[in-house]
Amino acid sequence: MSKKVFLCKSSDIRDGVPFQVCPKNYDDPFLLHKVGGELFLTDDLCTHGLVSLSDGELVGTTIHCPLHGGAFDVRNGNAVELPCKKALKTYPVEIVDGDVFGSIE
Amino acid sequence: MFTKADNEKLTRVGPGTPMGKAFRRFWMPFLMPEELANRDGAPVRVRLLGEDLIAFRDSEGKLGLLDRYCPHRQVDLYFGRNEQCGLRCVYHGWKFDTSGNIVDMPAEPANTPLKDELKIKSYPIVEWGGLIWAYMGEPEHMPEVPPEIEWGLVPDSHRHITKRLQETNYAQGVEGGIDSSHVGILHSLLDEDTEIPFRKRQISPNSAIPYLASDTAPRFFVRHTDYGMAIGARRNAEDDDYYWRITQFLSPFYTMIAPNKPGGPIMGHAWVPLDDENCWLFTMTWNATRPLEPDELDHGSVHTAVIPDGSYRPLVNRTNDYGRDREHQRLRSSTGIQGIGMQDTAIQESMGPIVDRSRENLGSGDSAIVGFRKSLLRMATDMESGIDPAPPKNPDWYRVRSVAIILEKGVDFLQGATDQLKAIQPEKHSA
Repeated sequence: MSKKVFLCKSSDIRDGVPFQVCPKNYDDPFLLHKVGGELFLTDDLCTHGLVSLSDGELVGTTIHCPLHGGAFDVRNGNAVELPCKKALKTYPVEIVDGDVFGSIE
Repeated sequence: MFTKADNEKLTRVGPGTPMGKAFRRFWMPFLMPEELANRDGAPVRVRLLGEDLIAFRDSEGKLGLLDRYCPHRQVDLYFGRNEQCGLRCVYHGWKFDTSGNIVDMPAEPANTPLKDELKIKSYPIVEWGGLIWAYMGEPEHMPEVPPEIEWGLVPDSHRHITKRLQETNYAQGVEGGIDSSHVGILHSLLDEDTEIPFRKRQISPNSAIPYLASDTAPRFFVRHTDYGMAIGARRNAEDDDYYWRITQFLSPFYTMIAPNKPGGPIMGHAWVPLDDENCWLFTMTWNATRPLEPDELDHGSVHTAVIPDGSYRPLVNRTNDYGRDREHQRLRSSTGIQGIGMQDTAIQESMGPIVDRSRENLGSGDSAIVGFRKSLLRMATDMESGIDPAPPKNPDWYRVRSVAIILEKGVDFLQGATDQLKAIQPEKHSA
């Protein structure tokens, strides 16, 4: 059952730079990706090495993991480069009056 | 994934290399004050960023850092005479002042124009913050002061600094310093019962730090900052709180470790390259508000005893297997080596002088290491494009302090600890 959780202000996020958010009551952080002004929300941990993707390279809509060079599409979470195989979880995200809300479980 | 080309760019710091050019924008510590204590004392051989130099203190107390080799016929000035405001080569008597001017050429005619035409290479050298520093870059880019790291800002009585030689590239040292995930394994003492599994035998090396035992799997959060990186290790505390230990990497080769108790001394390190395969490992303990107590100097644990011959080689080193005792290893410690400092050095030297990072397979505990490499490679790549590193020009960015703090869940660690993360601030003078 997902709920809308406030994550941050839209102005906090820079285009092309992954932005990590740690909402209260969630042990694991989430990652926001702004691509050409559009926002995407995924889990923060790479499904392969279990390391934060926040220090990875965001190239267009592809986030590259800094540990072993695998990659995911931030729009749907699909693993697009080995050694990543298991999809990354994605979540609906919306901006209301400059505040970013994610629909997370 | 880290290619051989990346490894070269990260590790090579000699003249003309991108990282070497970037490092040359920084004031770098390299000598202990005791090495140049006396006016007209013996000159000290120096190797820094792959360049051979000579350091001396002249008759008026001024420090000089010159090319090691006489510009005449390339004789080693270590055999020179330090007297009457200069260092004199004993081959033909050419004499140099601390600014690199040639002030005497006894074997040449008195009016020789060569004396004014020629100079010996010289670098600015300054005593600051308990150490002696050099600047090896272009004069027009020289920062006014070294980075204002807190151990340099406190009185002598509030700090304790030691130096030793580590026979590895600087980057291996820094990576060890920011890697928290090894602390519970490499440095742990063990329960003597050899029948129980290794993972259950660990006794924390520091039982004073709370939550280390109750939460053995901290989560790491890496944030790039203007001075380098802040690394937050998050452990569960009571109920709605997290226990954070926040440590820093400060560009290009400094680290800080969170104190063991509130208000307690903080420790830090610097790994300063002699060349690509050797570095000076400085260890600092300091307290911002009061002198250190004798039992806070931490001898034999992180600080390490060195051979008292001016070489700063550790007493235990590769030639004697770092003093490793196999029986102590079997029963009482992970390594059988005494002291956290030498355990780190032993393990880092065992990787070879320049580890081949293209052969590694990193794990989830390595995010700080990945962040460090990203930060430094970006600095070297920027340098190649003509972009100077910003930290040297902003020494006040280094006024940060590592801290251990309890924060409510949901509070960003850099924001929640803003005040505690500030080091001594410059005094404000009203106009």
